[in-house]
Amino acid sequence: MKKLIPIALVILSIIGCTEKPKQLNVGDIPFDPARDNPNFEVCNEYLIKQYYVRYSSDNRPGYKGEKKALVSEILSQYTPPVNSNQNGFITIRFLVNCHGETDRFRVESMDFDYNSIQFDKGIAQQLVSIIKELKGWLPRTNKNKSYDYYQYLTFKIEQGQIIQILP
Amino acid sequence: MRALSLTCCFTLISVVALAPPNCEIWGQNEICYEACELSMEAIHNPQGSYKSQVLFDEAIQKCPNFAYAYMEKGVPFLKRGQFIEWKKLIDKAVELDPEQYLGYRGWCRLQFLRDYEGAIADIERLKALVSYDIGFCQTGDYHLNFALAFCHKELGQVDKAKQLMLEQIAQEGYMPGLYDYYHLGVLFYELGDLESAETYFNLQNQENDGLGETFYYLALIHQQQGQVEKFKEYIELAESKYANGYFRVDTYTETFDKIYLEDIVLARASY
Repeated sequence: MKKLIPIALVILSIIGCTEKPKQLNVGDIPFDPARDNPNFEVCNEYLIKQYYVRYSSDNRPGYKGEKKALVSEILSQYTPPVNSNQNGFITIRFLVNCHGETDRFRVESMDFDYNSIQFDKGIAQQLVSIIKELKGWLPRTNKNKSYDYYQYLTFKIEQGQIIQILP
Repeated sequence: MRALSLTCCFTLISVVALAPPNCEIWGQNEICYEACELSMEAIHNPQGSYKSQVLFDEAIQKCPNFAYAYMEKGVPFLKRGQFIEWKKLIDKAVELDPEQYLGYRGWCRLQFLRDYEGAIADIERLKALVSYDIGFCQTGDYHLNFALAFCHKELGQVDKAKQLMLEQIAQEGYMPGLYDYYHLGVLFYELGDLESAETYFNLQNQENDGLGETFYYLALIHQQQGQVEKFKEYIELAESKYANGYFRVDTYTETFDKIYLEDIVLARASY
């Protein structure tokens, strides 16, 4: 019987060490070591809200200079590919941390009928690169404390040109 | 006070429009009654949470014809930019109950994706389907005919947009929405009809306490009419109102005919 105790302990420790998969909410972006920056600091992994969720005492998160400044920065850097015939929507979701820094970018593209498609790298990858360099994100703040939030940007593309930036 | 009453009224309208269903209507169908109860449990959990989504899945599995569960499960995908997933779910809800969800889908296509053609198709299909007033959008801010007007305007069909807006405010018993006159003012301003534009912006100020955007346009009208003092008065008012938080905001998306503080500052500096 005593011989079985170490075996039981080993089995129990294996079960205990097996990490239970996190039950994700819609829109969660868990850290992926293959594509995310390991040095990116999330101030509180358990308190990441969506950009639209806020309490009455929160300062509204957003972009310095409002959306007008954000759009202007993106359009001034975007170079449409020559003779592109690509149309549809590219949505880039990401995380803004409590310092206003960004990471965990995820891209989803669809045509105008909402079917998943792949955009040329010259468009999608260029947009990700531009968004990665944006420095004007304002963290969600409440009573002098700052919090992380998820944000997304959707680009309406016609013939490779940005027609609209949403939301 | 009127603005507050309208806000309450439209909020109630929009809540009623997509309110949780009365599960008792499934009384004879035990399985779908249970699915409805599961959906009610789902909406008492945080929207988009794992638990909430699992409950909707269970509801759908039990009663695959329960349109509400598809629509409601899709909402967090819509709000969080996962539009492919949202579209699959809302399409299923529309397929099962077009009368209930066509207007909602059309409005969402306009609000979140500026999908003007898609929104027109849905709202026009709803109009063809029902004999009653098609009602207001989900936020309660606009009658769906105003939503149609925004789409036509953005597609360059300005006359159609004007017709839709004017016909709607002329409807017997229609209580103008919180921003109807603002959008009419912008439309007439862009058409160069400054007199009508001013009339509508003044009506907007009577309706809704004076927003920075409204004073911005009033300033531009007076600037074009060469009334410098009036221009200065209004542009200063616009800046002050805007800086103190009196401007249009939507929780999720940019509002229509949006003006930013920088627009006001630039207009002021131009003189």
